[in-house]
Amino acid sequence: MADGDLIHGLVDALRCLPGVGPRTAQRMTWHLLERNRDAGRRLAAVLVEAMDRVGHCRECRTLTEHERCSVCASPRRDRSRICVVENPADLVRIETGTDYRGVYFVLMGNLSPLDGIGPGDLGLDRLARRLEEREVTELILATGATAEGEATAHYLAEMAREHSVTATRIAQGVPLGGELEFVDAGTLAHAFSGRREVVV
Amino acid sequence: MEHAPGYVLHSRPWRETSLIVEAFTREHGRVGLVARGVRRARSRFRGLLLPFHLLLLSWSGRGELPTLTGAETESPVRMLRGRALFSGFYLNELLLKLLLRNDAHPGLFDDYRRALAGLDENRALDGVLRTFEKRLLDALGYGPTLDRAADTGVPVSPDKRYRYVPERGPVEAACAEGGPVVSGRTLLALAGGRLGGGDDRERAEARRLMRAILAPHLGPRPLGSRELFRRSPSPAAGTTEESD
Repeated sequence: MADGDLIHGLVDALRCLPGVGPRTAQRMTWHLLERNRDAGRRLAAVLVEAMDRVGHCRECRTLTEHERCSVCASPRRDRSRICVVENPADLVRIETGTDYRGVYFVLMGNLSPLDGIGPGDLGLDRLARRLEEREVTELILATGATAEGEATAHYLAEMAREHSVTATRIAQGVPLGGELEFVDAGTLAHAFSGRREVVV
Repeated sequence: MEHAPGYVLHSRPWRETSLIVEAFTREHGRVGLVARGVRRARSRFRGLLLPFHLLLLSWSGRGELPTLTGAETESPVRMLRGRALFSGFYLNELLLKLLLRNDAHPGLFDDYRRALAGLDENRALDGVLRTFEKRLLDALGYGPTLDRAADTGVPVSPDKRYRYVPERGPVEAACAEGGPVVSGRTLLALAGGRLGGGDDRERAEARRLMRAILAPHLGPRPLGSRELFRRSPSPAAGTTEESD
């Protein structure tokens, strides 16, 4: 093996990460090799272990190394409410940003007919089984405000209705601390049509 | 290109922060555009590059994928909802499958615009979809002869039943092979542009007929947007699972 093949191999491998181009990958490689081999070894070990052991939660499909994720396994969560999100990052955002105490269902995507992603690809049969169990009273639809996110929300709302479960959609509108001047027209239109009575 | 009226048909992520947008413009037909950096939180196009909404698109550069340089709207962005949204996806999927890039169809563009307005107003979805399917087939030169039997050449009679054979037309003879069996009334309604009316049975028949006419042009892969309707009997595109 010619000198440098291993180094090039590492640079190339690091480029699989989002936001990492050839220059950044090179910097990372020099850093690990010149200054921090221990951290590099730890990274390699935990990377291998995570790749081998992290799977999907049996109930909500989020990423976890256990059979059930910590939310689904917790006895303190309200199992009558399920919040549907597109990916594990959205779940974490709701966990840290809200006081929601129900459970989740993670789609790992959204219904995207023009990309060939249909109901079967999102594990919706599993969600349907949970709705059948009669424990759930509210399905909270927290998919994105894109055409695909809206289509997904509508599809899920139809599913909820079949099981006599109330479906709610998270609100869209003016961001906190935002002035109307800087809100785009579409968001403003949504915010306007979703206005609520002010209770004083 | 400056301020070309157009719609986003579909967009997909490209690299870290960009999108590749497939747009349908009035003067240039279907175009593929690279929208750089639009997935960043502060992009000025964010919330604008959505389907089903008329935009004025500007782009520069040559080749297969020019760069989007501007997107403006003259009216507030409204998202189609529910089954109208599913139907909108269906229209877009038809256009993506059937239109070639840079092949202008101004008339079809206007038909598309009218169809979206119909969906937005929640008019009967069947009528809107059948009308657009027919216009699309006519615009692409695939418009079939529907008012004359292909085997005998005799004008179609409203009270007879015919078998529609794809890429041939309605035939009187009772052959086992081919497409759906439809009434002469449905064939004549479709030929005359009177679409989506009648009772449930007639609407289902028109839907099946259109599906058979479109099938040879759409290829073997099933349409993703039809799957959205599977859940319950619906008035919209290709929802019928029954066969003849």
